[in-house]
Amino acid sequence: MTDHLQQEVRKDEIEAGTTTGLASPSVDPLSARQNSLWSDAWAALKRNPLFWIGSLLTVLLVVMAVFPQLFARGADPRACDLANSKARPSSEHWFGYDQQGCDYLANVVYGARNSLIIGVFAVVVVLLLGVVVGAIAGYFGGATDGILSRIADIFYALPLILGALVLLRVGPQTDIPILNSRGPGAVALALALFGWMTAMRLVRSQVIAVKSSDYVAAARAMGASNSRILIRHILPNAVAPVLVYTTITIGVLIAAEATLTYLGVGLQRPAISWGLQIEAGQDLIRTSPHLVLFPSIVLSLTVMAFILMGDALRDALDPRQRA
Amino acid sequence: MSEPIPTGATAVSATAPASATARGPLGETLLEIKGLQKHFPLTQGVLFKRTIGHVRAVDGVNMTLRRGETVGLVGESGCGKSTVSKLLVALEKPTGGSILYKGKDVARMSGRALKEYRREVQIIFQDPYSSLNPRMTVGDIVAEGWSVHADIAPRKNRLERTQELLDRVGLNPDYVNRYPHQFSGGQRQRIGIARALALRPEVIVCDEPVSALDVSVQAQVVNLLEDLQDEFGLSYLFIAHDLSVVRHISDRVAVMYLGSIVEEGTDEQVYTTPSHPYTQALLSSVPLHEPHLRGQKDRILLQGDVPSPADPPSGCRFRTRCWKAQDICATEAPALVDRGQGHPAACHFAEARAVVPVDVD
Amino acid sequence: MTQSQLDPTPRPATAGATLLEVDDLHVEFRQRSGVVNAVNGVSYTLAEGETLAILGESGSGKSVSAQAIMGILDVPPAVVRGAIRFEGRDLLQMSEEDQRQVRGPGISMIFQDALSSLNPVYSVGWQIGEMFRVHQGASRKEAKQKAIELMDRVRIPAAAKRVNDYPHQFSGGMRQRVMIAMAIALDPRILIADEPTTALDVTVQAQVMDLLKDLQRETGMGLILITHDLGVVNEVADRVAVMYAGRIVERGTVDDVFTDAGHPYTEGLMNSVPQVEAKGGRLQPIVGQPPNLAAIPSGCPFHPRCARRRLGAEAAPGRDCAVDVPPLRLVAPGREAACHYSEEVLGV
Repeated sequence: MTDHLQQEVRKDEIEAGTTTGLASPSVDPLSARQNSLWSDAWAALKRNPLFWIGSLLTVLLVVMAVFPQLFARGADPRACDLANSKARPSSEHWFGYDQQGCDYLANVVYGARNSLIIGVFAVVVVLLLGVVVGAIAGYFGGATDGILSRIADIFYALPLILGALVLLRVGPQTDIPILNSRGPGAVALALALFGWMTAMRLVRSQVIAVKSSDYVAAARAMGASNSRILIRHILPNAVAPVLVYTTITIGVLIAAEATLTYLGVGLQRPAISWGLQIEAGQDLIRTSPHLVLFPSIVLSLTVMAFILMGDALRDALDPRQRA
Repeated sequence: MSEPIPTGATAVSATAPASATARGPLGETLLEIKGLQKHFPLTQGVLFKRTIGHVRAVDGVNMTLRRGETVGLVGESGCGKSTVSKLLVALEKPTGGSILYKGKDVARMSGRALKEYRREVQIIFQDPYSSLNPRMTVGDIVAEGWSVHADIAPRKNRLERTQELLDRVGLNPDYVNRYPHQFSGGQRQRIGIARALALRPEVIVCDEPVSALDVSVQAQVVNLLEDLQDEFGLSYLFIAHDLSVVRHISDRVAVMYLGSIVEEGTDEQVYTTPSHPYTQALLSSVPLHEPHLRGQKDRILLQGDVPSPADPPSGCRFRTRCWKAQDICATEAPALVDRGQGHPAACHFAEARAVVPVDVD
Repeated sequence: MTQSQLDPTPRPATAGATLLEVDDLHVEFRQRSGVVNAVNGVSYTLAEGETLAILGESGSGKSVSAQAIMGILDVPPAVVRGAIRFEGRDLLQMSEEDQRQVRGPGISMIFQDALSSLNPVYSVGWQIGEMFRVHQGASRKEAKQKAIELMDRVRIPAAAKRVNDYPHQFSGGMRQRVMIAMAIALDPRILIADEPTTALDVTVQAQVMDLLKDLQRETGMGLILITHDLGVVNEVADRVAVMYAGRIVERGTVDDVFTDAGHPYTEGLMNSVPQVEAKGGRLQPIVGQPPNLAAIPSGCPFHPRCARRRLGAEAAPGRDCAVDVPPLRLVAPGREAACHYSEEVLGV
């Protein structure tokens, strides 16, 4: 048999299977392009309507946070008249009035900025801390893991609110840039610093599971560096659970801000935020349910927007989930 | 086979290792393993770990691998053969003994030398499902070695070279943008072979490369490995528990039991005149495929289980299950030497005995 | 050379009564992505004291057909059609409760992965004894005594001492013995062994196969051995059914089928496997991959991989391998094969 013939036979050996052996036999023979996980993930995201719904909502909320006057229907959130206290929603004032007699639509709209800053900033810090600490602990193991995991345990032992309370009390007396401001940044940082441990645990356990797989061994056997193995092989296979977790957490963090306010360390009036509104409205829920209802709806929409985007991203990063 | 490949001949040589003759003479010793040991500590405690013993996974293995040959390493699960493969590709550090590659001790290599060693000694894994990153395209998987060893292939033509490699291992080159889950087990194993081949290795450690594949697909992969060896002058350490496959592909065979090699020789020597009782028992247990040979072989049924490698027997490791065991076996570990059978066996009472009937037709 | 000279240990012609008849069994899985036809019209019989091997690769439907007999498929998504007659009664026509009454003591099964089939938090003796407590209302003490007897029977050394040990304290081979002990506890008439030795080393495999044969000799039970290992089939089974893409493509005694295959797939399997008896030349693999059961090729399911296929003008009328499904037919005395050109394969 000539080599050429043998090559033909070898082709046949495979081709006989290609029509049936493959999950999706549609081949794109003209593609002279090397796709990567990220380019394919972006292509998949673009095709996912849920991702677009989520992003549209997010864009809307961001615009609301930056230019609240566009949505407030001309009302000033701080122009209040006690005569209107707790008035029900009407065609003129869609969300009604709060206890002080301020236009509630304007209040909810103006609250977006603080609440989004707190939610997004806190989640980003949680994600960063969780992924970095979790990846290092899981990947290097041994003493590194022992120390980092014990540190996380110590943070677990401190309740989120108590820790944040102490930090925000002490913060203004220090000269740490964000923490001494008493603004939404400080609140976000305080919440994130005491809320990153679950994310870290999730990442750590995933990294440990992925670390022992043969493809990581193969990468190491070909001489790949630790950072390359972590970034190319381990993290893409380990981030899915933490993505889902953090997108759900964003709502919890936004609401937690209200508790801090109640304890006197969060945002203080006249600052406006959804957390403050929900907190204030709780006492009046029997007489004026709309005071809780409207900020809650907007908060839920925010959480939903992030969950939709997080889910879409998770699916896009998993080739097995793509249609 | 004398004709040159009409198409793609230049292409293949661009990616492929240089031909065998250009790299060094066939038969030159590439790997020399001397007294190799790997003991894993058994620990207790969470934060303050204390060692309560050692698992002697590999305990004194000697072996050589020469250019262009295939050495088969057989043994049952838990005998330490997979640990040997991990030691060879420097995924684990030996506890004792040495691995010499072209005369240099791998354990003492660092930085550049170790990186070069890792390029030249590649590995193919058993499980085609867990050995490929599910989130990388096939093209990225095959080409990854070039990102690590940038000198092998210039950035410009990498896609083309990836496609040539896929073609060489028998996959459609248009599949570069697909993901591993879209392939069958046999096809995935070909991707793993292409990944190893991309680095132009000298040695490939094959750790049970066909055990997880369907029977009808195993032969395809075995043939591919043989073809690649002829073409590129590769040397294989072929680790498997399937004695038939090992006999087919190997030039020399080493039999491993509980961390050490008990018998070594050419495939002919080990299979037709096995001299260590364990080899004899192992071979006699392999079911035969020919109805007319059924019942013709000497069945040797071993008693009991393999002892724990954390607490191996004194002297000869096999003595607890051996029908020939005498007092000396408990006190003195038999050396792996030729006791008149033509090839070395680690048994005080080594004696050649044919257990596999010879197929007359 | 005549056949009797070729075979030093001729297998006894099976004289026992028929225990099991599987008649035109179909199993399909209805999934969102489509219908997966796992078993497409499989028929076979099993007699007392007989060993039938079902030989096939992954996805050939060999395990699913056994699971259908055991009634352990989830229905839906699985849909089972055809007839499974155990001692003359069709299991598929019975109520679930009646099926359980018949299967419990009548048919039992052992699996490849003994570790995951055993519950890690109960002792082995307790798990074996459970069979007696549940099915025969035995007391704890009696059950434990019977468990020890059974462990003795499957040759677990020091059974009385090990009865209180947990699964992780046993080796792979010993765990498979525990599974066998549980399977034979109620003296079944049929034992289905699904890849019983695939996870085991060869030396242990030989011990377990010996044990199964001895138990069969003692009890006269029928044994269905599901495997992909040609060697195991040759050494253990009386008759063999070769499965491909959910169909039986060849059926006959092991001696006949292994001496001269009647279907190109069987022939290909024999040629592609290296043998321990000889180094052999270059292997002759079957080309391609086994088919996806959601898209089984038209005509003969093996035709895309077949070296002997005849298509279009080459084919005899009504026997185009890509169009006409070959029926399982008698091609030689005692031999059945599902190939249009089986006579050529046999060389008669």
